[in-house]
Amino acid sequence: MATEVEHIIDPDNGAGTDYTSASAWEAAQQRDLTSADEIAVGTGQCTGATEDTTVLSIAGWTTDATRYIKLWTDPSGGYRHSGKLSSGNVYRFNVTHLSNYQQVIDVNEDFVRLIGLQIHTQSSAILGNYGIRLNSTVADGAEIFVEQCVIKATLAGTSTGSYGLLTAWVGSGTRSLKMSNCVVYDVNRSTDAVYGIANDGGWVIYCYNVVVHNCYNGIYGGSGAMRAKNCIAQDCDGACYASTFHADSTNNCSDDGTQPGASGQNGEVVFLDEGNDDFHLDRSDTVALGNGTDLSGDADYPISVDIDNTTRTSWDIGADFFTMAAGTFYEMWELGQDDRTFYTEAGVDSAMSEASLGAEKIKVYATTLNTKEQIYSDT
Amino acid sequence: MAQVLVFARNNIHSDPIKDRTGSYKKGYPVVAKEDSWTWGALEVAPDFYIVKLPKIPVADVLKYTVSEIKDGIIYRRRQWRIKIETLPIDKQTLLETKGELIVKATPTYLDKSDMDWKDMKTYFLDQASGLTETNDL
Repeated sequence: MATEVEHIIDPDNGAGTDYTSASAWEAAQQRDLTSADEIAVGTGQCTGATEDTTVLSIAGWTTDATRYIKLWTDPSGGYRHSGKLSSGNVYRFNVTHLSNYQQVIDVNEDFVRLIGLQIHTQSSAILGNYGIRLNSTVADGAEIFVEQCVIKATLAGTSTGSYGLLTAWVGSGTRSLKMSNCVVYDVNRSTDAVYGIANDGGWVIYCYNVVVHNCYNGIYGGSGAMRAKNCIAQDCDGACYASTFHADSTNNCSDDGTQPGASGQNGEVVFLDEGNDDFHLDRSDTVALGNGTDLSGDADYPISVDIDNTTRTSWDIGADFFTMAAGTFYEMWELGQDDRTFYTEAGVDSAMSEASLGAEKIKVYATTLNTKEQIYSDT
Repeated sequence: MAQVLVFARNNIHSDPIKDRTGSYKKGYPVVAKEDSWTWGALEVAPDFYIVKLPKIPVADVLKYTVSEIKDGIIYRRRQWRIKIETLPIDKQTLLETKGELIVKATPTYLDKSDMDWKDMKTYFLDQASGLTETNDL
């Protein structure tokens, strides 16, 4: 088994820092990992709130499926985002592009894992602005993982040809991207040449439990090689899902009816705080909650956690596995209504009294993290 | 004031194309940061040197950290290379022993320096054109 060789990347140069940018780590560590029998691990930390503002190109290595490059944040290390765009002591990229066709992270190697990263890509009057680009130099048989990442774009001026994540055109082959539990948003410039996630052609893509929000085009399948499962694409000015998707796609959600595959949902997902770009699920949601398919045994790319690294014990659509806060809440369903209202213990009695006075027919459930019990019904 | 982190050795890839497009070579500028930046424990010799350019904005030296592009794709890992091996011997020794060179690139900088930009720039090679830097910062 390959040896993991870990180095610490901290732009604040806190105690134990090896490199102050991912770019310096990549330069110093690039080598033939297969002959060294090593996994090169760059662990992002942030001890003083400083962002990594240097673009990263991963190139010049030799890798394989068990000897690969891993750039990540440790979920137990305290420097990872909180499932949404985060500030403070969170390791994150924030790059303002000054020339055309630049990317925050440019992957040119075959076996790379990007895990738990936050990427903010910004440009004004720039062509081709990418959060992550998987380049056409990646060889056949490659396997790239992008997991638990938050990717946001801020586009201004005449920025076009921009992507949250792009797999560059290769024509055909067996290069694979395995992407899960990510949020990609605000890749939007009111033109049709910007995309949240796009398969430009030739890649085999597994896109599972991803949220794409406010992108002109949400998820571009590209020639039917993308398997989208449990994904949310919403508030896209063009199409939430565009081009064609693999027949295995399932349990996806949109608000424009374009979701691919079986068991889809068409509706507006209620997020915890959409106005502030928090795409965790709200307890009142009925579109994504519980409507995913279990991917823990997926034949191609089994996954079991969400963007917060919480183990999924049931399957929601999107990057978040909804978990209730501790304690008991009460949900009231009114006959003939499609939605429920939640109350704390303090509020449920008066709500029930009001309902009886108004002669509404209701059911009331007491719900906790693990239980749901009907406590009242007059339907 | 800008600081440029410069690669101090040659990485070699067995594939000549990947070697040219991906491998860092001695003298390649890697990143540019501001004066107040403090470097990590491994951002030192034998992997890196620091070239300091007091009172020069970081934005003015970022061009040295980009890849050489031909026909829209990366042709070489870096367009610019500092010809470390042809620097005066005493400057090379400074890099080896102190790990840094301080270059005076503006008359407003009055403190200690190891070289003037008018001399240092002749060691900045644009690998795309084959010409050395002629511009002031």
